[in-house]
Amino acid sequence: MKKHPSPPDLALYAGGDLPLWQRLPLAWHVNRCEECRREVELFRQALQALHEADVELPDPDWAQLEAEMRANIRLGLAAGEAVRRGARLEDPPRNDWRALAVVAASLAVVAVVGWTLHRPGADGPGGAARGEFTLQTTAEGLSVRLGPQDAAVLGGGRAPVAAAVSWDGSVRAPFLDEETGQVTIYNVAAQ
Amino acid sequence: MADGGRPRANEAGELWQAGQEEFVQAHLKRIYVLIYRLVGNAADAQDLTQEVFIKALQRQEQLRDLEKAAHWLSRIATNTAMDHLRRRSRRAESDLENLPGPLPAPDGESPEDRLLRAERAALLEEGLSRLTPRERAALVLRDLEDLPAEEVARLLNCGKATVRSHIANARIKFRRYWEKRQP
Repeated sequence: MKKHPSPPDLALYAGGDLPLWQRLPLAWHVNRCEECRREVELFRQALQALHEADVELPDPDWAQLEAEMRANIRLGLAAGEAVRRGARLEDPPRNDWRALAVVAASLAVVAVVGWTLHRPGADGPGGAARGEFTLQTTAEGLSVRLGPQDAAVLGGGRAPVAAAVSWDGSVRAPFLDEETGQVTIYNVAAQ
Repeated sequence: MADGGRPRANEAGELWQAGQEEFVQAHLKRIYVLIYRLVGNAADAQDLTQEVFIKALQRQEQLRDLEKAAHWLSRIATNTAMDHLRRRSRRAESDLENLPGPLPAPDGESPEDRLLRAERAALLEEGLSRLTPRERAALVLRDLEDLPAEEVARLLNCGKATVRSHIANARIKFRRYWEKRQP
């Protein structure tokens, strides 16, 4: 070891906390280096001062202190138990069925609306023939029909990325142009 | 008792519940001294010791081996004391509550002895107050409680290399402080 050991290594060496493979070369160096030997000695003196400064507990009042602490511990345990017991009593019954009912009702409404908008025949030739206004997503794009005539085919030639039917009967369909990467969103509502 | 002769968790818990008083009596002083060394204040040490035993006895189902009760308790005590030190270090230094409270004086102690004891306590507390909570805990556990570094690492829930780094830094800082106080 040619270089001086680092202060942390000397501090650990002074307290005997270096592993053997580090301790042996460091001991060899310290034995030959006056400066490092002095450093180690100062660390040991500081540790000695720490030991001397450590105040032993005065025993005369220990019995009283112990009795006080034990009484407080018993009190703390009893209070904790009382709080837990009270919390169990006040715990209201679980109302999971209400949440389930809300979810079930929501799903039923969505199913009814979906069926109403996409029911068989609504968008077929017969439906259109009756003069109904229909919106439909097809392979050619978004079809808007009024009566027997097609009013418009939006996004022609390109299938929509995704089409969504909203509560009010409108249809929203974004189209992606593969060449330009441009996205066109059609939002058509029947009035 | 389990087949291997060692108590199972629930058996240990029942045994311990039956002997809570004995458990407290067996460990109270050791834990109080440990916490006092860690926080340097008798009033805080008393409060925290009570807190540690209440926590321990409320979580006794976590104890899997009665033989490890002492270590488990030391770990709760160390963590509780370090949490307290962290909270204290966040508060303003001028807070009167932060001043270290002296240990109760033994009866019949002479004024000279009392002064000497107070000076030593002040030296210890001033030196330790310059350390971070982890450095302080590492120094107290290693150099005052004389626990091996591996045990300190387990108590502080960190690796051996990390705990050695805490011990080294703590010794360097304490030595600097001690050297400044030398005439």
